Amino acid sequence: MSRFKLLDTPTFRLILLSSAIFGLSVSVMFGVMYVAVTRSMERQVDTEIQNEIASLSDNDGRMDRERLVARVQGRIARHNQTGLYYLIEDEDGTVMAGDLPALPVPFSGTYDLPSPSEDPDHVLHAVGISLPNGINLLIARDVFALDEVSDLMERTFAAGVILTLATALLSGAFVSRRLLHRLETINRTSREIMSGDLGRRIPIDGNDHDFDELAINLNDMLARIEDLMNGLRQVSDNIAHDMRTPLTRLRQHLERARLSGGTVDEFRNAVDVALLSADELLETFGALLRIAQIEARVPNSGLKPVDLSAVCTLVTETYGPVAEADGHNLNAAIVPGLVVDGDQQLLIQMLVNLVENAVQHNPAPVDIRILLHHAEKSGPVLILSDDGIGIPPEERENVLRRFYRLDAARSTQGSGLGLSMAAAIAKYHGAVLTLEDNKPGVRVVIRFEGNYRS
Amino acid sequence: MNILVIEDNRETADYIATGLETAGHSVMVAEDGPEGLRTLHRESFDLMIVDRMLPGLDGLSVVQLIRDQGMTLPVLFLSALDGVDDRVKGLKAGGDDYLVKPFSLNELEARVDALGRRASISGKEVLLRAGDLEMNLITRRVTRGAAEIDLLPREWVLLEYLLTNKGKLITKKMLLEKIWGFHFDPRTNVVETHISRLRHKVDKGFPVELIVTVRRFGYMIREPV
Repeated sequence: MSRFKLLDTPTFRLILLSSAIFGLSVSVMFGVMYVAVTRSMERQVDTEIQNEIASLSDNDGRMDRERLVARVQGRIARHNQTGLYYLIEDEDGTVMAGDLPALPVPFSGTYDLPSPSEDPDHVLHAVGISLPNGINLLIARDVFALDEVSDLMERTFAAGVILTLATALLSGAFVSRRLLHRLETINRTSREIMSGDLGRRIPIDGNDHDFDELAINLNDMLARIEDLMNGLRQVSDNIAHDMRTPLTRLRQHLERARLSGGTVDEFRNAVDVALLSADELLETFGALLRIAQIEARVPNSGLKPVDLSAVCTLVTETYGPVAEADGHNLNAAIVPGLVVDGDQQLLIQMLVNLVENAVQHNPAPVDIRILLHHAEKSGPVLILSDDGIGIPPEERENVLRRFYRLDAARSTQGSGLGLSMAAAIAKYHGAVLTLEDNKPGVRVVIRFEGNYRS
Repeated sequence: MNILVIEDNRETADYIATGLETAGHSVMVAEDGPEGLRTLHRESFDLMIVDRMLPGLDGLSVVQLIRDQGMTLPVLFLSALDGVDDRVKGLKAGGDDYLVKPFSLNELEARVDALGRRASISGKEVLLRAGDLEMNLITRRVTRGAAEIDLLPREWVLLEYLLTNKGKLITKKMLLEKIWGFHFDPRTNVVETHISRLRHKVDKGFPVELIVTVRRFGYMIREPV
């Protein structure tokens, strides 16, 4: 990864910006501290010199020439102890005492003087006063130690800033590289998916919570898109293969009638038969579209509370006589008042499809049972069972597919869409539909997991 | 009846117009929403059939507009949209019935008849009658001649609906929608089975059959001559 690219990443730039702001605030803080410390040190020097001036005075505050000169000479002799420099000149500028080079009089005020040691690093801070008796007194202090403190502060500060910036840059580079790496993985996966490999998923790293969450969400989205794509593909396949057969049959029927029909009644009969099969075709089309619509809906969206118990009761009441007319027996055990978030029409259709399957696909009389109860963990569970011919275990997945029909069912009526529609409706409701062995017969179990209102 | 059809697809419009005219209605066709509204204000109609998807102004808005203007004529929606929400929206906008395309002419005619009748009934009748069959909506008793007939709740609703529409063809689809609330076609003979049960109670042992099957299309209660 080139440095140039790193500079382009927003993360890195963000980190740079925040380190710059941090550096600036540290500088301001340091500046304030620096000024405060140097000021205070300078004031200390001033105070020291003022005190010295006071101690050179007589008790009454005045300064006698001879005594002053004597005192200063005494101080100069002990120079090493005080670290102070002195200069006394009379009104004509003649040096009376001192260890500093002569200065033009009068010299009241504060000065910075070069040190008599001629070391350029050493600077003297001097205060001069003109006394009323014509004497000019100057006391100076070598501030080399103070300058050293300032220098030390400056150096420390520079090192600190450089260290801070370096750390910020390094950590920024590290974090950005990591981010870029993950983003690159996501980008690469997206490109692979766009180029046709719909089954690809973004790897989940396991130690980066935010990115893993993003990856999981993206993967879920991809799974949903793949589902929809497959649904679409399946519908076009279905139209191409399964709808062609009845259409061909219809066409052949009309052709035969055209060739061999003689009387108006014969034609009328032929048209009636053709209308009937056209209606069946339309119905199959409708069912196919409906399944596609249900599958395209966002699961659990636009649902309203539906009394599932009432739906079961309605279907039981309605289909009891229908089952009976075919020699079957339909009974139910329904726990009342179970409500789910749902689409009432679809839930009715789901149960109707299941009941009709049981009624139609069992040639011999069977007991059909609708069972609705509430399971502690999974919410409402709807079971539709019969003790009829059943579905072989290896076919249980297949019968959920569109247009798939068991050999045993080929002679009976039906489009082969009932179960797949029921499964699609269940899925839309956040429910899971499974086929189980009822020993004998089949048991369709629909668990409304994650969709329950008490 | 005087019927206004608002439908932008000319073929469908012709199909509807020809069918309804054959059944003795007089039909006028408008090709879009605004034209439909103008026609509606120019002439008087007994019923309106309106497609939901129209250029200019869609069917829902047309019906909402005329309902806001206080027009009460019955409205039948036609739609290629078969979602439950779509139907609910259509009825909420002020439609009286909702028919999903494609539909058969018989289905359309039966619904037009039912809607026309609904408009002509003023207030609810208390006593429904066909021949010697009597249904009292207040005492909740059904008698045929001297015999009392016991009905289950849904059989009651079924008979009441058929009697209210006495002399009109009621399609299986209409019964499924009105009596059971099923807006899809079941594969088994749900309607046939329940009609047969009702017939067993109402017609069995009587010389005249009141509940008549119209082959392949539906049922009606016929007043004996």
